[in-house]
Amino acid sequence: MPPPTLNLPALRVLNLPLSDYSRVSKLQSILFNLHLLYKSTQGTSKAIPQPPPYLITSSFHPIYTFGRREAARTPPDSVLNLLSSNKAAIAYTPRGGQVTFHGPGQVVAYPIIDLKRHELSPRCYVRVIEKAIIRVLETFRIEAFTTEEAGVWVKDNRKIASIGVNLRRWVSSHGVALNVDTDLEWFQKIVACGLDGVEMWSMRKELETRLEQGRESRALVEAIGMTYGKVFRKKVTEEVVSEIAKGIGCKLTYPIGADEVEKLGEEYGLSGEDGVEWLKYWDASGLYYRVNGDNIEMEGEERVPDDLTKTDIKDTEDKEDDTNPDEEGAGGVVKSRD
Amino acid sequence: MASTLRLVSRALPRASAPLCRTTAAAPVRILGTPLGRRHLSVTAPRLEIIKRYTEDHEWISYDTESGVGTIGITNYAQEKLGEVVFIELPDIDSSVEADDSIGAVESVKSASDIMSPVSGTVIQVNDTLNEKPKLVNEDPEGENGWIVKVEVGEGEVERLQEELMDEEAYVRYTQE
Repeated sequence: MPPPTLNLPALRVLNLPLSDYSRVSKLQSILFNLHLLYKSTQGTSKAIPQPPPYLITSSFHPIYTFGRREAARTPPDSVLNLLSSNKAAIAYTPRGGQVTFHGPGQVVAYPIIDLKRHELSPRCYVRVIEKAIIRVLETFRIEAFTTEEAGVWVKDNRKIASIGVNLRRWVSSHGVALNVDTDLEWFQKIVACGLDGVEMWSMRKELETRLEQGRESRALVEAIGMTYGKVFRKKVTEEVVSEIAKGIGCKLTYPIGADEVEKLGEEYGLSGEDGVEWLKYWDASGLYYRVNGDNIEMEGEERVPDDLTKTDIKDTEDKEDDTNPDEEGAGGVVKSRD
Repeated sequence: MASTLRLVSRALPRASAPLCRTTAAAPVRILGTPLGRRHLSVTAPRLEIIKRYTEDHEWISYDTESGVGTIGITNYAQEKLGEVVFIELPDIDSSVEADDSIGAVESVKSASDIMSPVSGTVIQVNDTLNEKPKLVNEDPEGENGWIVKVEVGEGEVERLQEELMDEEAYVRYTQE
């Protein structure tokens, strides 16, 4: 953890509702490139002010994302079947780690920070994020830990949060995905993170298992706010923000909106389009994209799927609620808990 | 130190035309080095290895005789990254520009881009790293852990010496 003497600006938090991966990717790219622009123009006449640390939280419509070392990998048939029926998208990303799934019921947190400013080494940074998630889980009375493999685990070889980070000039992007009440069936289509014999897990599953085993009284579960769905995820998101802020040494958090990020993009000529990093991609409206260098081409016809929102795999019930714009940016300056 | 400062361009053999396929595409960045990025520049004697370091912990060692620059990550960088599990290498013959990503070093779930300190053409990659990425930990600045060899574009050597750190400056930088 960075020394407390560091005088860091407030962590700017962009809290997005359930979104298309492409949208989050684009906003992330603007902030990431803003940091890089600062670095490359420092000391020149075109120098721009140093950007503050940013954190994007969101969850995605179903998508399988592949890691850097899987750039040439063809997805398994089970995933391709989902693709062709428009039930999930895939994306190839520059992050570390291997294939994973993102979907509703997850809390995804992408810090975009200059590790040097936070006096964190890459190795240290990954551990800082893991520890933040462990503290979040502790708040909800779930005992979690790290292993030799990255990510956050609960006992019996069950993985509850996945980590994959990209660093360029020590500026971070991508981050962590914590399964709150994710439908875990999605993970069965892949060998998540390249780890065979690992069971993907969620907070919900953990608490249900405990209840079944009589290890936890229902009263207690209810007492700690175990109502599934949107409200609970919002609470988890707040904890994640607060613990990540603490982990990277930011004493304050400050909410921002997507429009502010887009405005920054316009001001500095950062379109965010290069953040669209997939080779093949079907978005939620059924458009198929292919990316060649910086050029994004729409390929194939626009397909209007029979039933876009309903999937064989049961999606979360409160999906529509999730897109409620009210959820964006919970107000006020929030002090991270010490 | 000041007494050893001389015009670098005179001490170096000019790269011949076929060596500079990428110069047309290379951005103009010969003059007006930003003050903030200036570091000690020491003139290289003839036919020697000029080794320089970036603020992002890449090293390049330029062979003045062949015009080839070997690029890797520093010992400091590998310590900070931890165990390397995968190296992404660029395609041979691909042209690179200074400050572009030419690959990545992946360690504990973080993939760090390797930024090219120079513009030029990739002529060789260290294939052994596909099998043994850990060589980057074991011998980051030596015979085994280098990552790519680049035919360095025209004017780049001068810029390299102007803008990047020599060993002494780099050691100081990492101790800051």
